Amino acid sequence: MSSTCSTCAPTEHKRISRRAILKGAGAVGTVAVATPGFGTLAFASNNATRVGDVVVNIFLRGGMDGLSVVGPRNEVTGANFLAAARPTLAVDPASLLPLSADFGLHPAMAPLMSVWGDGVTNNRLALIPAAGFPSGDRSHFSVQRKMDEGLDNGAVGSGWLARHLDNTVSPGPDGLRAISLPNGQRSLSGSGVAVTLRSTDSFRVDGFRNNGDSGAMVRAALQDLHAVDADRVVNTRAQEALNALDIVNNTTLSTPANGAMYPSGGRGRNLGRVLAEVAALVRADSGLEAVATDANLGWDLHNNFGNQVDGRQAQNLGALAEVLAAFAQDLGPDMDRVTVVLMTEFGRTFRENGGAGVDHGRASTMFVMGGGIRGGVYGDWPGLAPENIDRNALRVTVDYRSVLADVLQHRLATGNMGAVLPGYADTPDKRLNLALPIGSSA
Amino acid sequence: MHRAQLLGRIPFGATSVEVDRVASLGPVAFLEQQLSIPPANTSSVLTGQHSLELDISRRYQMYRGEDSRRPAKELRHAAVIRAARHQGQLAERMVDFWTNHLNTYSGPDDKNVRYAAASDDRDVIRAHAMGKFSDLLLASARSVSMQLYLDNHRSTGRRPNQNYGREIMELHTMGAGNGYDEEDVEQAARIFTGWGLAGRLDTDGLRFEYNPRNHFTDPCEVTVVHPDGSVHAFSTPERPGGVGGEQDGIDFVNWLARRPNTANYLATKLVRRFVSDDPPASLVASTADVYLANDTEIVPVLRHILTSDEFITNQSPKVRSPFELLVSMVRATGAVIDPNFSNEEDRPATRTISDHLGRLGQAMWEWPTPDGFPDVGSHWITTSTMLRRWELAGRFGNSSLNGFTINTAALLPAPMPPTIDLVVRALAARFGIDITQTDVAAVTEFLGVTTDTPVADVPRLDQNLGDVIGLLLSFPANQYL
Repeated sequence: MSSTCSTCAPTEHKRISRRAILKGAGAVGTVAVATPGFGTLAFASNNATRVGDVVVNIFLRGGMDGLSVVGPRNEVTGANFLAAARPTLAVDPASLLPLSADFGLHPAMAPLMSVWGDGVTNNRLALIPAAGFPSGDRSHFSVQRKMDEGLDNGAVGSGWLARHLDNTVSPGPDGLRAISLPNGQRSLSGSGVAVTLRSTDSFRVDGFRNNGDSGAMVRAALQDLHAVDADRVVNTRAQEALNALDIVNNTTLSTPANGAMYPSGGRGRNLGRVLAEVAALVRADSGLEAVATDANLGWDLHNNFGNQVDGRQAQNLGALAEVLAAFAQDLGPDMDRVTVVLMTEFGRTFRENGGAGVDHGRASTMFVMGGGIRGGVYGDWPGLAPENIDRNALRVTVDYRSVLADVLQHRLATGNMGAVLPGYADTPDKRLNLALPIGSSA
Repeated sequence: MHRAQLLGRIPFGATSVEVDRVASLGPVAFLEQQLSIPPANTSSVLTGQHSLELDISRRYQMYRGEDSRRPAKELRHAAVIRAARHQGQLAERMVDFWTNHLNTYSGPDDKNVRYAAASDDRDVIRAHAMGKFSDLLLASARSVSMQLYLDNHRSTGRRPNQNYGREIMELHTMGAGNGYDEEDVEQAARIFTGWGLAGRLDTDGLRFEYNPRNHFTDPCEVTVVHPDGSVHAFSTPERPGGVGGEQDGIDFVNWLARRPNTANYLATKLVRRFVSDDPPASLVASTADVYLANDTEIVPVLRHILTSDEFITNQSPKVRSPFELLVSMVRATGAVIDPNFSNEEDRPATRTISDHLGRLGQAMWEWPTPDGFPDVGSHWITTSTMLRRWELAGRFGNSSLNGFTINTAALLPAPMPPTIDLVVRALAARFGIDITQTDVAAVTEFLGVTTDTPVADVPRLDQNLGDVIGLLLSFPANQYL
């Protein structure tokens, strides 16, 4: 199955093979890191002064094709098979932005190379090209729900981020511990500390005349009217909204810093607005610990996937890269306390269909970006030869939860991994170790 | 007791019309009357230059190059007026339900669905909302909207596109993973190959057409495990040249509509809509039986739900969706909505409706994915949508919604009672709110007076009356059906 370890150059495969990392064989030169063991968990939750990163979970809803994000550059990784399976859609290997001898990034994602750096030192972008949902479900809705809940099957009714917050001691002052933007996100559902914000600007009550004051009397009346029946969803959310209103009113937010430019239009506009808002809240020390958002840029390309220059997928990926690069630039040094995790419910089918599109597949690329992330391409590559294809799709070799577990343990100081990822057998051999323990540095 | 349930759950907010009708007819006859009225379906709901009665090519000519959101705005404008004013309130609620159940997306990057959406609303949803589900499903399967939205028109025997074959089973009939697997999705997609579109958008318009050359000619088989564990197969014969393949799709739609898996899935969604976010299992089971026994007829299913013990004794609150909330406020305040839909400047009501539905989280016809809006209170009610719900109430109270004419003074009791608490109570009664003395006090405190203050002594009551009405419309009770 794995076609990489024996063939790619040592400095380039240190990320791609987790076994190499675990055995220390791939820890070459500049990235010599004490790979943390599983036991650091206790250290994390017991250290009261310790503050975890702000985690930003971006769910790319719609099923983003991964084979066009991190693509094979040579026959070893299956570029020839991909070209044959997608005669009109495959990205030309020669135009991929090199990540290693074997893999390259879609040319439309060039802005992200600023986060990748030289690929070794100061690389804050981890790419996991064969990650995904562990079982074979290909329904948008059931897989999204289960991933939002941190599961591989069944249902628990609350999100994985919500459970992380509820099981982890908050070090900061009362504030906006968690926000969903711009709409409620299931990964935060069930949390008593998560607030949904369309934007901070619009977080106010319009529509009343307020009789000469700034809304204090209306606010007081609304508070009274929602004071009882706290078990009802309307009253609960109402009280949370009024409290959050006070915090937002007392928080001064800044405009994008360090010359960062978010896209003002196009497919990246909404995600750009969200991340600009998040960057401002991080800078303002508003007590933020977790952010959940989504970006359905139109990934569900059953048809009209388009060419690699200005087709639909290329435009989507370009917009995504532009926004992520702007976010990193905007945060600047504050990126050291932020970890961004991007995931999608599945990749697309390996072979293109009759409409020059791709149907629901399996593995896709997960992205993890942040100051505490050891950049690189991670995970076993399943290969694209016919015998390696899973019902016309890229096989999943990395359970999305192993990536979350890495981040939860090393960057978020989670208090109870078992509660956050129930049913996930978290063993060191599954870990990619792409996150540095908090307090250490690359 | 049944009266209160029927008035609470059938209309988009009961007005004196429904209250009087239940009083004069009795609950049983009232329900029968509601079950007998079809949805509104005349294009005169809007005036000005609208596209409701046009065909697809003329709609395309009208909207091509325009703001791509205009067709959805037009549909929302019409939907709100119809839901607010149509006598058949139950039928309008079913239109809302089926529109969401068979969701399509109109707007930017929409595969041209926006030119067909109003035809879908008119010829599929409104035509069949109170008819047979199998007819509704077949009309949807062959509609230009659904063909475009879920790509079936591009699906060929050689290269099938699984989008529609998957979603008709997962979302329109049986529910995800309920008795079928990925192999069945592939087979279903092949059965629908050859179903597609003919014509050109810009000239004669698009229409459904079966093209035998695109049909998958080998036999197909979809196997479904019923809830009782029995296995049932739908098989198609070899179709040389694709001849006869269209009938296979028709038979398959009809077969899917009559699976007990489908009965359970639809019953669950209908009970969730009319009864509770957590549908009682007993009522789901009996509703599914009624659905199957009546050959997928919708009216007997509704009659069963709305006369069931579970419905009559139900205590679970059901949060109003943004659409239900907006329409209920129109009905509660007697707001008159400008029906004029023409150019951007002259259609303020169109914009008002779309702006508010969007901010509240329900830009209908622009939900991108085929699952439709989730039908549970926890989806609709978030911290930010609470603020927007209060804003909407404030705007109704202060009559500050462009294109909506609200005569606030007419909401006041006449003659005015002596003290302010009685004014608040009269307004609450008008809005159907069971108000406590504590809540009366919260409102009078906003006015800076105690509850027993004479009306004449309340400072600036005229100026503050809008906010008082806004606060009453903000009551938690008003967020629920």
